[in-house]
Amino acid sequence: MSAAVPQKVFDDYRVLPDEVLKPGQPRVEKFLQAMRKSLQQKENWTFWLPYILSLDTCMKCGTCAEVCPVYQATGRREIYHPVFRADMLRKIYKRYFTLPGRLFPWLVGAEDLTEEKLDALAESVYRCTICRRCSYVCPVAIDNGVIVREARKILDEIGIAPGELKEKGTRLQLKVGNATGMPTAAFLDMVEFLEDEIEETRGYRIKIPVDKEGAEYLLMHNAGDYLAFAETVMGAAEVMHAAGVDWTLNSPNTGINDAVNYGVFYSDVEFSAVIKAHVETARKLGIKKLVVGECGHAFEALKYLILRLIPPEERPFEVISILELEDRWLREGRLKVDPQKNPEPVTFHDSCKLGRLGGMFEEPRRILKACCPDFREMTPNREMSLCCGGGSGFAIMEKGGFLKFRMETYGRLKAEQLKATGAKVVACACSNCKAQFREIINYHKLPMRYAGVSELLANALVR
Amino acid sequence: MPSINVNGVEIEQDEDGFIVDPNLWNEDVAKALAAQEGISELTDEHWKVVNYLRNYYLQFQIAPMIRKLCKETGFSLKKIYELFPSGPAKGACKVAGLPKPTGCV
Repeated sequence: MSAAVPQKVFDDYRVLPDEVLKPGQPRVEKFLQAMRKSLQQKENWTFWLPYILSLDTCMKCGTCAEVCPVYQATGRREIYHPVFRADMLRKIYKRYFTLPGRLFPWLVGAEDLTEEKLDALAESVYRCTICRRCSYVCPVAIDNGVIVREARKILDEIGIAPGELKEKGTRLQLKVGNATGMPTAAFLDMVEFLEDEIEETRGYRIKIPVDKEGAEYLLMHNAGDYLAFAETVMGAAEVMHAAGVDWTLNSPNTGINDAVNYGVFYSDVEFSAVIKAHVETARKLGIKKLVVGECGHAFEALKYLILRLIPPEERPFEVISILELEDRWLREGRLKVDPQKNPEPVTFHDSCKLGRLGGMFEEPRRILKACCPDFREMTPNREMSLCCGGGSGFAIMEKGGFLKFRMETYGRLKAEQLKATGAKVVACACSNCKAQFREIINYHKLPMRYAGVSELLANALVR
Repeated sequence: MPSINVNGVEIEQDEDGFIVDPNLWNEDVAKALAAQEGISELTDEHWKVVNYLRNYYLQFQIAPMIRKLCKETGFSLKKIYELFPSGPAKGACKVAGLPKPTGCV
């Protein structure tokens, strides 16, 4: 009737099923080949230098562990210590790719890689959301997040990647235009439904433009928002309409209509394929500005990682977050709001990708303070914001009991933090965060709801 | 791969319990899948959700927006969670024989 429970390889969870991990099969040689490639500058265009420096430099001071949500939430379990995880790769690096490690492994903490250690490493790098809180505090600027991502990349090279992120993620997105598998007819049905819903809730009808060539703004959402967080899509449409700008959404007919790029989480090859398809879609439509909807990692991909891959002349459009636009239009007086329309106490969750990585701290706060009279900060926030536990793909991964891991580690700390604010609404601007908050609120029985920033802004708009 | 036996027919499921071939779905399969979800009896309210999901999927090859599901069935999201404790995507879609929703949902 049901699947056999996969054997434990690291802890009580198994996010990579046997079909993916293939325990028992010889993979060490291939792993070492792929790792050798990752260590060559020419073969690794993303973060080669911080990667090498991070492998070489750690002085084991443990500062990172003091801020790691997983390590803290598990009562300081050694296997969840950020250095324990990074050392799993570091030991291999030293043993096979440094001279002292090849000659005197016992002196430098180098260790042979075995199939069992490979199993454990593969699961271990999917216990970290790459929130990079640890990197922010490291006194010698080691980036454990980069190490985890490089390990995920190496594993993907040898065929080990979560199906949610690859087969049903980047591969599906490249094939049909979005990772939800939404065909154009379904997309158009959804847009029409949203127009009806806006009319019903607000009392006026707006036209949501689709596939408009040459538009000033192409607004690209995380496609999952249409299905699961429609209020964010509606809110953004109302904002674009209220600002009176020339804008459009796009259907899968035009190429990629999903801002996500799960390659950010595990593969440069996949990342490149997806972002090139994004660029091609934007160019084909001839739009002037690509607006990234409420999605953290999509912002990292399209705003920052793109700079390292696509030359400026090949991307003749500006990339901007919906939050930046909303903030600007509010300050310009282009959007008028009545904050009394959002009377409930509201707090804001800094998504790791928008905040700590992207530096977008003040824009969402200015928006929320303008349209919510009772705005309350969570503590800590901004650079030291606690990851919700949905990052790096976790929000859509739940195999092998993983939902429990998400809820009992990151989720528990976040729930305590949310409770302390007394807020009735947690606003955030990232789909993964929303999916994680949906589960946290349910699992930890919190008397509150989550909402997109655009949703709260749209609710406060006055005509 | 796990599977579920319904009236002597072995129906393959993916690791998350969704049936692999949506064409093999019928009402008895729905009942068997519901049992796996811990739902002992499919009431008229369950069927309203299941049938809506099924018809939408057959027309559009994807699950509907959660907001649309609530609207068309007249059930709040809370009510849908009461009917299908794993929620609309993981619970209701599974019983309706849809493939597991993908992407950030």
